[in-house]
Amino acid sequence: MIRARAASTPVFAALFAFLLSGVVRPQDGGGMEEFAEVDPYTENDPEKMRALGYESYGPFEWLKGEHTPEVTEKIGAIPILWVETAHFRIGSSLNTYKIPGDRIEKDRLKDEIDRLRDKLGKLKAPKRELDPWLRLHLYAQRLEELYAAFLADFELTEADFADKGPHLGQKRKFRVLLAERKSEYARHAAQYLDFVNDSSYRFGWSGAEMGFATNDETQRGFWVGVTGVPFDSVLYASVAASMAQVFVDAYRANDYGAPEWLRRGYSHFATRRFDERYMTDAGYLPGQNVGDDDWVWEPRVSNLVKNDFFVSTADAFAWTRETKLNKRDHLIAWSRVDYLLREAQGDRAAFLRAVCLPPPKGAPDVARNALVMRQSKALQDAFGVTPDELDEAWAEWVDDEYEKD
Amino acid sequence: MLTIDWDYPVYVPPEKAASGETASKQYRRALPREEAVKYIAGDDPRPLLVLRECKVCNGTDDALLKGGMENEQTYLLSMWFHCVKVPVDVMEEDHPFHNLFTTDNVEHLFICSVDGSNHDALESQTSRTELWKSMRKLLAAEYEGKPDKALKLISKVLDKMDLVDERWNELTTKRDDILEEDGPKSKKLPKLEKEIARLEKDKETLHGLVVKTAKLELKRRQDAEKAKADAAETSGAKAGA
Repeated sequence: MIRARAASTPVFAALFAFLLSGVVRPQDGGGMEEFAEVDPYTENDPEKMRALGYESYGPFEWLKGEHTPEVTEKIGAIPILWVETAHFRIGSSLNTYKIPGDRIEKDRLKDEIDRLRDKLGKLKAPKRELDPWLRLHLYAQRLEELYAAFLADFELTEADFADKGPHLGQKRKFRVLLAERKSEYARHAAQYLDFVNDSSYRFGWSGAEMGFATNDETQRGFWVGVTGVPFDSVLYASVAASMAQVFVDAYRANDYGAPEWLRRGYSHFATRRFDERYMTDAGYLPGQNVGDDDWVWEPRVSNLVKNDFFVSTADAFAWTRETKLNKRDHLIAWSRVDYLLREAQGDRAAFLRAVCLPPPKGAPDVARNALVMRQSKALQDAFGVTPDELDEAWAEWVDDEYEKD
Repeated sequence: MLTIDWDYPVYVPPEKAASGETASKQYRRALPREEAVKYIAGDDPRPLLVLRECKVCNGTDDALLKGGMENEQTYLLSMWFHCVKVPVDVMEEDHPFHNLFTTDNVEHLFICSVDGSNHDALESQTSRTELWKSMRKLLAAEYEGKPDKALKLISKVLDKMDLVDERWNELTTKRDDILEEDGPKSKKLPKLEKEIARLEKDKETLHGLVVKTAKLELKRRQDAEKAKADAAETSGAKAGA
């Protein structure tokens, strides 16, 4: 398919391309882009779609019994692409992305597109930009890889959760909405999540379906006056951070009873594996700036260990959703997960199963005690250590493994 | 960071009972203007600022804002409005909110009173001075007190807040660095904590001042309350007669 060219293309060529493609590109400085109706990479060929692990480009059921055409209309009749993979239903209104000069992002995109090409056999991607369809393919691949990484990290097989539901214990596939603008995101939130905000939102009806909705406009709004920001990485880092939490919350339909330190720690672990530079929910006070080197976490954890100034495992076991975590708590939660998943010898699948249970019932003190007890028992059974012994082994590992200032 | 607090209403038609037991959904149709205004206004009594998203402006705030410092005025004036964004397809004649727009050449944005009166159509190309003039004119008609006076004061307070925020950011970052590098027993901490506490108090005071200054009374609300009080008095007098 011929696509519309950049503004520098001679007028007749650009017009010709426009007439053939039916694609309208945004004007410089904005513009609502229209998307090609047919995916130029698979041409909707069922074999090629299968090669990418796709089941459909829609219509399919989304939330509250409504299907994608109704969703599109309700969120503003904006251009939106849909895809269903093995574990996800994804909607994307993300515009064409002009790839900036960031070397890390450029290299990663090349690898990711190479992986897509391997599956398709042939793929001609534009060099300087990602069009809406290519962005959709990248997100579908990233999310399935994130899902596979969760299974690998905790050494899980489908048999570990199939009794609860085929998608980590949920009956239905995960929903992910990637909106270009705040407006369609906010209309979606108001319509389908009974919630109003203009940034991002993890949602779920435990045991049924869970997911995440976000928008690029908000992410970009955090970077006023900065040029060359690799916004594709910034946005996906936030998606990875949230979906990692959704996976923990979803596991064996635990009804949001999974430990907070594990949820937070695994979220950072998954994000940092993608790109360490872009943190999400890392304990900053409202209005507090993020420093240029704040993402270099290893020496910071080393310092905390050296100063014996960190939350103990036993105390972290008592954290709940209401616990306010500071930056240091986030660093330690990440590092403990880093240790448990990369170094500690034990049965990770058994540990996850034993701690991902519905929240304990009873009076606050009773519930808190039960929460701590069940995690301590799981730690002993799966890794053969007490919380104090874990602290000791982890601290030694940090001292050996992490770079210091 | 200043932002415009947008509302994004979606029309949900009431379910109409069909002849049988089930309810049926209604076909999409444009609401009469009065109803459309009432729907998007909801229970917010402030005058309306309505922006139509379009393919050129990308549906972002660009239509209302221009680059540079001048945006502060627009942000500040917008807080006395109920700001509403309607989607691109509002241009379609059967869109429930289509009749919000009164001109043949559908305007990009407009401001009006909560009941739809005083409609003032504007364009994204409208100069900032013209935009503010229109916004001020409607505010003067809708609110008691003087928005201009409040605006000047808020602007000054915001400048102060910027300085306090900057210092607070610097010191809280320093505190976190010390805690990580030297631990909680560092001798540098007590003085720092004291200074941070003072700045937090300043932040709170300045924030309170902005909230207080921004609180202008709506004339309509006062009129409604007066009418309610008059009615109560009349009925009381009748009961006593």
